[in-house]
Amino acid sequence: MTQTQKNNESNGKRYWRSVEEFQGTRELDALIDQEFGSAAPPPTDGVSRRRWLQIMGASMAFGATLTGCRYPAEKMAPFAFRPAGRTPGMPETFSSMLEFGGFARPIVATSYDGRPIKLDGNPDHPDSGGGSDSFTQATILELYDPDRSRSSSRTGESGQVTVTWNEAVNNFKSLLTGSGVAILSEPVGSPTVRRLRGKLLASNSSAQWFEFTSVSADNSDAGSRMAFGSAFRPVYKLENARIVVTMDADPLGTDPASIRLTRDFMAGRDVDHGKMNRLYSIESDFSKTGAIADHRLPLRFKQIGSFLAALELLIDGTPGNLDSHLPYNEKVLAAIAEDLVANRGAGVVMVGNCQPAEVHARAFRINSKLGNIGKTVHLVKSTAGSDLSGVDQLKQLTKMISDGSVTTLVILGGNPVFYAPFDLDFGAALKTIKNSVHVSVYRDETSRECGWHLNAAHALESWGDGTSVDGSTIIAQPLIEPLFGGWSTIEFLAMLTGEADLSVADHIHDAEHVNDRHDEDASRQSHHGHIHIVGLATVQNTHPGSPGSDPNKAWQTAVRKGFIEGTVAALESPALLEMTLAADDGQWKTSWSSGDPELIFRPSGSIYDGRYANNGWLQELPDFITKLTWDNAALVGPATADTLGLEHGKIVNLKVAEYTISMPVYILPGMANGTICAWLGYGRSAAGRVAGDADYSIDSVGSDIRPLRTSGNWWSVPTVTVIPTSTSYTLASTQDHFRMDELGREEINRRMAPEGKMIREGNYTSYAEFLAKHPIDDHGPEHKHAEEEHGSDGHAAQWPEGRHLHFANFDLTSAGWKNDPVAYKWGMSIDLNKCTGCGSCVVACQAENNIPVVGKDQVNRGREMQWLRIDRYFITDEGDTDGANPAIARQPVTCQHCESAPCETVCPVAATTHSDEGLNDMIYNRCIGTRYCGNNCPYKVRRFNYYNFTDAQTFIKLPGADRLGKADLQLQSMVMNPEVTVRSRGVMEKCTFCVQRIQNTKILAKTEDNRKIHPNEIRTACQDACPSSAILFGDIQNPASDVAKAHHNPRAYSLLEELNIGPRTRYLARVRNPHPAIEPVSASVAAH
Amino acid sequence: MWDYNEQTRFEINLMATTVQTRIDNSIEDPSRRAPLITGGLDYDGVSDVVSDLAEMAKPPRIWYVLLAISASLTLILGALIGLLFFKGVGVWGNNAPVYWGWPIVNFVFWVGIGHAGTLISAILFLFRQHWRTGINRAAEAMTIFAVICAGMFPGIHIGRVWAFYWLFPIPSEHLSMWPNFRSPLLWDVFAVSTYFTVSLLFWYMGMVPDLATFRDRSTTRLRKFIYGILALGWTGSARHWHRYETAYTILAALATPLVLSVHTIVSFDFAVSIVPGWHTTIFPPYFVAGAIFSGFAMVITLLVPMRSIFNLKHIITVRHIENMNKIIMVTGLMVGTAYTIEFFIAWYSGNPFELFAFKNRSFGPFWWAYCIMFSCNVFVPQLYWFKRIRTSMIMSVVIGILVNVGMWFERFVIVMTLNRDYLPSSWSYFRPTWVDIMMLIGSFGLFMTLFLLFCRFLPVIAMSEVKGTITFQRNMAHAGGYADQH
Repeated sequence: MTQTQKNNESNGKRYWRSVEEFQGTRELDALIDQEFGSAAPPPTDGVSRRRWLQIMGASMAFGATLTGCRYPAEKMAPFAFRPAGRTPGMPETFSSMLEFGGFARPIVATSYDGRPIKLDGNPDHPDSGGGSDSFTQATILELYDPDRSRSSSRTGESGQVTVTWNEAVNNFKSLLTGSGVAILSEPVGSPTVRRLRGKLLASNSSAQWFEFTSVSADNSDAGSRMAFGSAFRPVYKLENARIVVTMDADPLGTDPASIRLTRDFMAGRDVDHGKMNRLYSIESDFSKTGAIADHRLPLRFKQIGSFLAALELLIDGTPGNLDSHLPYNEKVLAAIAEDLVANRGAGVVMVGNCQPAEVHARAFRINSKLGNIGKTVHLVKSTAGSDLSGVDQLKQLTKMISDGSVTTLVILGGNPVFYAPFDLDFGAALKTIKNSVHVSVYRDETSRECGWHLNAAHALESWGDGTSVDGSTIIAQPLIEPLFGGWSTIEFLAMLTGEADLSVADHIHDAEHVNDRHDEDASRQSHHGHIHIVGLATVQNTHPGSPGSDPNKAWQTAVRKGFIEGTVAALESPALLEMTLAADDGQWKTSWSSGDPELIFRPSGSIYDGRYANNGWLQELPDFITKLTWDNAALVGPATADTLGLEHGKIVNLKVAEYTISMPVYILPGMANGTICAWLGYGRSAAGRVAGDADYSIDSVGSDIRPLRTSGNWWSVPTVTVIPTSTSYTLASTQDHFRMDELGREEINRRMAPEGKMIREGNYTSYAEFLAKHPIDDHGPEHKHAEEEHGSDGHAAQWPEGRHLHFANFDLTSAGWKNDPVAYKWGMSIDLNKCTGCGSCVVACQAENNIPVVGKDQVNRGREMQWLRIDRYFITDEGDTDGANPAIARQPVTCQHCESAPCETVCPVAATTHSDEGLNDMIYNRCIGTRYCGNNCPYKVRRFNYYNFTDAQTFIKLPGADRLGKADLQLQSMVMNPEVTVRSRGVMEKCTFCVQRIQNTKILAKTEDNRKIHPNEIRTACQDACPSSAILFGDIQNPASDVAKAHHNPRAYSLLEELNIGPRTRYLARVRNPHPAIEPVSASVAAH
Repeated sequence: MWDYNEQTRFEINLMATTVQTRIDNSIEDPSRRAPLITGGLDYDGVSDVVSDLAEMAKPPRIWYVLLAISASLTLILGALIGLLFFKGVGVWGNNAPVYWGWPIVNFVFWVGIGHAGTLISAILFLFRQHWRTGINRAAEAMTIFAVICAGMFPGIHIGRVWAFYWLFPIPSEHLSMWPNFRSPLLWDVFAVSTYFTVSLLFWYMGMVPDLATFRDRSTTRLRKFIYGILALGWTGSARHWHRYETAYTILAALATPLVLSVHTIVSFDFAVSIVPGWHTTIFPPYFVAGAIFSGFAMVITLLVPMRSIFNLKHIITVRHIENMNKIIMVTGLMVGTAYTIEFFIAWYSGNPFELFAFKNRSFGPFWWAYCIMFSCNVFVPQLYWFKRIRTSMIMSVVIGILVNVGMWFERFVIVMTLNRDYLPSSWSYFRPTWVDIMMLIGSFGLFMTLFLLFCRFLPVIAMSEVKGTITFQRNMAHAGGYADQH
């Protein structure tokens, strides 16, 4: 031990002097040995409390000053020398990066005492603007997942043998120089990996690098090769678009660029300031984009290309006036053509990744013809490493394996065994390779078929970089030392290519299995530090900085900001090639009425392609359209279901050739007739305790659709034999499905529209007229409109279609809460015009407020705990009992903090009371759980802990939770926000308007000369997460605050205001922008 | 032991010749008052008949069978309460919109049952309805036991049972604050506990002279000791009787408003909320009527078998049963009116949520429960228009049970109104778990266990009061009422 280390040790001891703590450490160590000792393969790397202290200390050091990373010996020092900007107990934020769908997402992580607990979008980068999505929000849970791989292993003669990374590097470094070498990765977005790839391939010309993943932009790349001769990636500038046409695309949903696209799309829909785009969505499933479209047209997968061909014909010819007698399909087609031609250079035709290349090519041609390229559609060079699609590359690799021409296979991340086309039987092929290694965070399906498994460090634990949607370079910095050891892919590649010197870590690895725990800890401590140095140096080598400037400073700026400025990809303007595409065959006009339907595959809105399957937050996040949790299902329209004899909640067998899959039926109105949609990612057998693990005999969550997803039928199966069964299956959804009793369905329609007042919507034409008379800036607290303008109700500043109720004469509430002279009145506004239902806020709330996951059985019992839910209503035309093409209304609902809250009066023990600033406070330790407040809440936003949901050990229903040891639970609890009480069983809870954030800001303001809180200073977790800024929070009596302005927006209304309970949350009515010549889908909604 | 053959005893004691016509005291003969007690028992006879139940060496075998069944159910109840405490409220079917489920249904049901006793003993006492004397003791006992069952459910239904005492206004440092006096649940705590206390006092005080009789007849030292303590030194002196009757009247006057207030306040749990379908002003009277309705049905269900098992047919006569059946019919009509008026008001109020709540109750997912409720509570009691049915013991029991099934479902329907309130997004269905079902059955076990023990060890008939009615009957005979009895 060096002198420095000794000093640090003594420093550390002085700080953690408490005897109990050290005793606790020893006990815990024993416990961890006991817990982790039972797992297979034998893990070597537990998480002890001492380890936690080290990790925290370390991450503080590198977090605070970047130079700290270079001096690992100083890791225990931070408490002796307080790092700049760090106050104990105060959270810090660091910028970093996550990769999703091949793109880097710039993020900002919040750390408490070196422990990251919350991820948000990086507000400085245009890809996020501060917004995020549910995947980003939930990744923090993945970091602390006890199912993460804890050690590296290889298959020896007598089962699994634990190995060190060094052994692996030594083994594969020599193998990689030989012949028969292949590397398989997901599409590479990281410039560093790309650089190392080049290096590796240069050093061994026979080596081959393959890229494959389950959801990729391959078809788009192929389409652009057809159209322009080489692969270009479209970057959509939706903020400039006036007409957006999506063809089986889901830019506001599962698209990897969805955060940016949502933000930009909503920027182009700023109705209050005269910006309003129009969205047409032609799709075969029911996507979030379809749900927000002004016109949605369900077409079968096969018909989409034919529709686009027809559209091109119409654009080429001059579209005439719309004939209102045309059938709906034709009318929509004509309207799109008319709009696109009228808005040359301001339209976008987007095609989804699942559609074949020709459709993409045609879309490029249309965009090019309309002059959209360079304006609304920017083209940048694609980063794809090969001209072949991922599926073709994998096919080639499998063939090479069976040929015997590949003997060494390095798989970097991904889970190809689970994602691969079924007909390739990649898993079996993989087994035949002697030297195969999978570098992965989880010991998943692929790892289990590989000779070696190396436990990778999590993205939040390692240095890295990536390419954002706009092509700029994003830098990832580690937020915590690897919990279970492990290296990043970059570090592994650096070692393999010889960029980093393995000997640096040698003596550390040798020391790793020394029995003396003390030494071991010390060695690990420095070992991880060295690894960080390797990762850091490798990434830094890729970005040397501009010549002449101080490279160190440039690097520090980049890490602080999270991205390197000025790296946005260059715009390309390639010339369009002559293409012969199939002519319009009129197929899009035909409607399916009988026969075998088609089957389409889509990534799940909750767990994407399965990579998030072991994430409880995401499994329990209700899919926006179906509200389904913990499952996938065969989504099928009501008419199709009737024709095929399918019933909701019954198992159906879908058969193609000799393969059959079984899954439950979910009847979803608005699905294209003759189409069945199934989500990817379910039915995993080696995901972990949440999603299923065959090794532990934990059942899979959902149904495995892979047998039907073959290389020929990658995104759709043209015909599938449907065999209905009478077996019932429990689908746990958080909202009633469409096929409820008629009484209920009629009532929902009535409450929503037309005379309903719960979700208010109107037409852009009338809103524009209204604003022309009363500019938005005029609307303030004092503003009144003349009586004759909007009827005789003594009119306040309301847009009539917002259908604000006027209860001036019936307002029985005391003037007290209205004219109360308090410092702040907290309130919220939610703009229904901006909400896409993405669910980012739901998961953000879960992460911020320590909300437990309850499991499928409890969701089925109606006991989900999310404080924030997004209500979804189907609105059907009168007489459309079939729900052929319903409109969808959405409404995020959380505690409305009523001025005279019904929940407060009925609580016998006064556990929920009103603060003078208008918060409806919940006092957990006073609550005895009579649940009367829950009954009396008209919004039903209160959530009750029916069991001890927080402690998964006593809550035995969560799959595999009974196998969680104490140390695992401790690990899981590391994700908890220390600012928020963890609730016990028998206690009611609900949205608090993030009271902890309010209080912290108040304390801050107090320490800063007792200043007043700035108008928009406090942001709630849901507000932070919202990619479209639909949620605003602040002081409603401060006219300078955004929320006060929103409350006086002419579209503002309160939900259930007729109950006279004075909710503090106001909704802003949605404005639809239908083509004037088409009756909107739901005439009753918009044509009021 | 003597033979209980009514007719024999009748002939021996009175040497009457019109036995057959007089035995049925339910026949209305305008020329004379029907006797309240048949069988021509004298004071000793009453004491003999009533005390015999407690004094006989071995009760009838059926008593053992019933006790075995109900005690087992009570044990199950206890075990399930243990499970509930161990695991949490989640063992029941309660969910997010239906935060209250069967426990509250059972609570309101049992409180309702607990109404008949005090009504019979207090209100009918004040109105000088002397026929009450035959049934009031058993009815009061039933009240006590029903309120015990009722009080249990809200106690255990809260999420953190170990903190149940926070509901009481205890001036303590630890709690450091009062409960919320605005909450109907708190009113409930006061109402039910007051009702229980007064009913218990009333029951016990009324029992003192009879307990003294038991004491005096005791043959063993243990019995003498226990009944001696319970009898509080009653000697039967004129001064005792004077004090006793004054106190009894005062307690009756105190208990009378409670009969009305308890269920009124229980109904406030619903009526004071803003849940559509709950927030109605008709709830207090409708709940009270329903409570009396179900209470009498339960009295009938218990007393008809009891009078036949323990041979009390001449004290609890057909006329008693018939009178109670008439009350059931009247209160059944009241309840039926309330059901109908609710619909009218839901429409007349112009409140769409309210209207839907009622439509949903009767035609929504719980339509079947509404059907059971309506037919059992409104249609079935209409059979009592027929005297043959009114005076048929078997039909009385059958209808009594049906009425209580209906009344349980009434509370079920009311609580289940929660399943669809304002925002359709939170609409849901409710499914009970096996724990729900077994706890309801277990509560019947507890109730029956207590009642069976009562039958065996305490005076089931208010002997002293019955004796009073015999005197009354004699005096009326002198006045010309019962010429042939004289």
